[in-house]
Amino acid sequence: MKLRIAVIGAGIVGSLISRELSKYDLELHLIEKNPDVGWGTTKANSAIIHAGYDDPPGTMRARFCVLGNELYGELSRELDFDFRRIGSHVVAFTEEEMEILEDLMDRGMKNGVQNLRILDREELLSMEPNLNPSVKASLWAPSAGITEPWEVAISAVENAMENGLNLHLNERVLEISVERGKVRRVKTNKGEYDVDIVINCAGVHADDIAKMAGAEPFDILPRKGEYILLDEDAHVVNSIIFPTPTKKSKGILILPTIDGGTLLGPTAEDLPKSKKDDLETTKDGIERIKRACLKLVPSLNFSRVLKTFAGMRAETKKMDFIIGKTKVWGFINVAGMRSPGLTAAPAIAKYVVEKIIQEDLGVGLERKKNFKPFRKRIPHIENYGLEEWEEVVKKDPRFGKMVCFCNKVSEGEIVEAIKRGARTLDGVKFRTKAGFGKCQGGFCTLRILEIMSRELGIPIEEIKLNNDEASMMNGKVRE
Amino acid sequence: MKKEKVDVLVVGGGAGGIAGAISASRYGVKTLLIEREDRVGGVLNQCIHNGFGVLVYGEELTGPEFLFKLLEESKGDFEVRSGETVLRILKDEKVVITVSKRGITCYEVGALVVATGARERPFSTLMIPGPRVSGIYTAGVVQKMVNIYNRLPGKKAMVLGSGDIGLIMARRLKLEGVDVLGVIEIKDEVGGSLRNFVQCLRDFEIPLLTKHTISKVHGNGRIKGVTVVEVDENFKPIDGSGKFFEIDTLVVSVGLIPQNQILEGLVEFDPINGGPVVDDLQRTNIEWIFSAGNSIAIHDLVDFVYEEGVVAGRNAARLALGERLPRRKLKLVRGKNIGVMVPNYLTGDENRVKMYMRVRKTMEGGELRVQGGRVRKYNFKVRPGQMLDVVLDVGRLSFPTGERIESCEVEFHEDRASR
Amino acid sequence: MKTELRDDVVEMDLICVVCPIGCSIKLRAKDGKVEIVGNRCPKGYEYAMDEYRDPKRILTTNVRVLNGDHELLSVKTDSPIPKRLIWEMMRILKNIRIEAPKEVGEIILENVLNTGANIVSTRRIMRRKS
Repeated sequence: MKLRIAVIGAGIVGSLISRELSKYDLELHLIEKNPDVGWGTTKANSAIIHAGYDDPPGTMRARFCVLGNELYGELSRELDFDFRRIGSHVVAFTEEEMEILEDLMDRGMKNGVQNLRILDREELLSMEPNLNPSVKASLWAPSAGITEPWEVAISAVENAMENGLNLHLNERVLEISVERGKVRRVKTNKGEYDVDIVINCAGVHADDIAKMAGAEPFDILPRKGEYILLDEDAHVVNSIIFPTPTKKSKGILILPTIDGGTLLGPTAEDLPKSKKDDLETTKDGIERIKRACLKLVPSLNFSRVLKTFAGMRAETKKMDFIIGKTKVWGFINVAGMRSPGLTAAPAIAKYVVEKIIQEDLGVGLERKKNFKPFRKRIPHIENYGLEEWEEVVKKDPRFGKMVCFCNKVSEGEIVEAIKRGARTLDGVKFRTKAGFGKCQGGFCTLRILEIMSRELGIPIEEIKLNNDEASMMNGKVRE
Repeated sequence: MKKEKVDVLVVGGGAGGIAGAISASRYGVKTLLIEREDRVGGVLNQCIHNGFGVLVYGEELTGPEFLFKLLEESKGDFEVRSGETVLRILKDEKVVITVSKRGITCYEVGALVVATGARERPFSTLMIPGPRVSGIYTAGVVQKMVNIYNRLPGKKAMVLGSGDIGLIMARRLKLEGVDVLGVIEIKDEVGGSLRNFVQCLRDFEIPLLTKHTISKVHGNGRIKGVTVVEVDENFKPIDGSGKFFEIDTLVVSVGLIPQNQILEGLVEFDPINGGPVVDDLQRTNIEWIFSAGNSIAIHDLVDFVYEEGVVAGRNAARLALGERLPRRKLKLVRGKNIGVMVPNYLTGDENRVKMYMRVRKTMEGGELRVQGGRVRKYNFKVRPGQMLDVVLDVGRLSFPTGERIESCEVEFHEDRASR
Repeated sequence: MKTELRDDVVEMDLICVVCPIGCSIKLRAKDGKVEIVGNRCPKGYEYAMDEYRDPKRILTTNVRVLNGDHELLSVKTDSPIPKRLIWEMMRILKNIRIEAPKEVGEIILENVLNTGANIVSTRRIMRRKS
């Protein structure tokens, strides 16, 4: 009988683990409570692939960050998502801060980070002319990069599905049955799964899932981070700008986003466990970001604000990842994915499959002979030459009809996103970037809903923005 | 990839673009209008209220009627292609590249008229704290949802912003059975016209909350309510004044922004107008590119947009026919109290030039002066929300004799005594 | 409408909308005698009188159309109707269904509620190609 594995949580970690597992011959299920992949922490973070100097040597963070960073290049080619190494600066304003830069450099070298350099004021300002002229120096890490986190998760899941993954959306785990010290069954609001191995990638809810299995308890400490996003006309910085870090967090940053915007944030607000799902932006949080970023770039102009948003991070007391087998045989934790979780994820996926499952649990896995490693993204005009796009349109004229004009997303892409699993407006938006431009869906939302209604064969007023409460319309004007 | 030659290409099938295409085709030039939506008309299709065409047709029409009359004027003298979007403009080659279901097309043009209208300022740019929820729409989206898609946005609404669009939608929703709790306006007076204030709010007993704004959005999945606060003269919220309103729909009408990304990096822009710098021929600083309407600056009346479209189309046609158009001679400079101002330059080509302007803040009456001379007297309150249109008698101005462009000040001289 | 009724005296605070000046007009009516102050021209006087006696408005809305290329047909009253009849008018218009095609200006309902005004189409609706 085939080995049965259930991964709980389709965030960046669960998605990449699923993709890694889909290389092997087994029965694989990915269970996700939200209507789509990557809607937890994965959807709202700084989108940085960190260099790895910030993590204390010897921690899992340190180990997996550097390894993960190295894997992103090839991963982005296999899964066809956007990734760019634009480098990062940690800037120092005082002598004390400069000493911290030296510490970080030291740490980085111990962790195996390549090409770290301390830059003096002149070189720093020549690279980043908008920085506060009173900066003294920076730690430059050329291996740092940016990506679109939910795209990584979505592309990993699409690839895994092509290789046999069973994806279960809108499904919430209610019970995990353990018999004679081994994990046996996972019960959800939709069904039951007999399993041999359960991998807990449930993000801010990982402690709840661990409790269900009766594994050693731990606490996930929710930490909210608010962000401000500036539109593509704000040209502020060329690489990622960090202030000198504190013990608690990397601080409030300024960085380019992979599609040309500028991201400011995050704040770091520790919330009680009861507020795990509180994703509200606050007056205080927004003010804090403005103040911190004006210190880094005094000429920052808030007239180009596109939007604000908040994300939740999963912090733990020991400030490190919780990865490993537990006293419940077959139940594996991959939790506490605080920064640099996104960066570390590809390396963690390999570790879970190679070390934890095969070595620690002694479960032999057989590689598939026909694993298909490449996934292609939805065709988009900005990635093609004009002649090439002409061919795309010839094959399917819907790729010639623009729906989101700000981001040049065509009807063909909307239809393809629905084919690939989008059932909500957010599902379409996150897969195509429709509605994410300057007009924020002003011109395209109704048309997207119309296309979705047509393709899915459901009344337009039943389509939700994301979850079941997020209705968009309320009945007809005239019956 | 198709290559086509066109004398005048008009981008945008709203009021400005159609007027431009009609005007250009009267010169017998091969005129093509391309529109990115499936139908022409722009917002005219969804503005089912009246108030359009008083200047152009001498009667108050609804948006669709105005569009109908426009299209009747055209008598099929130009071709219309809908579902076609501009990708790129090549400045030196005078080529416009588009995409549509038919594929990629490269148009070699004699002249281009850009009449791409405006977009609405999204709610998210206001940075109002709260969760990300559904049920928040800009007024134009609600208008299209109701009038074209035949769907209601919700049951209980408030409107943020008392500009004309907000007032119109407050009335529309109330007429269609939605409970409209009020219109929230941060300033101390209504943003839109007095007529709309009376006929949309007063008539329907919809409260106008001036000197108020929203301090917080509440909800989970869908919006459940807003906290509305009073603000002081500096628009800062007054502590303790917060009041919660239970709503499931927020209609946002906080401003229009000219849309002209196809011209970015190509032509000179006027930062106060938010669109390209144009002269009295509606010509940008690129001699073959013209523009008209809301893509230059936000206009109050569709009639103004129409007028500009006519001028743009006419001169685009003249250029396409090989005529040498006069160069810029006078630069209109904003003096006291002048905000939005179209055009920016005078060529002296026409004796009478229509100018459109807004004052920077409410004026208690006064005089509009160009080059020191009075153009028009206003014996009533003039607000920024009310666009002034004047006919400039160009013959009365003094033009430079040499090659140099000279400046000419436009100012609104406030004079309370004139009321 | 800012109207107050006290001791058989009607007082109205109006903003005239005939021209951009927007005069603030005060109307006072007692025992059938009407007093109007604040208008700067006779049109304002007429406006105030109309608003007092029987304010009229053009109503614009939509009606449901069947077998058309749109679900809704935008319509208007072709002359102003008494404001007090608006809600009843809306009730009628919410419940009718008409067939495509329709031309701009075509009469949908004649002499609605005996006002002398017709409901006319303001949009051209074509018949939907099945």
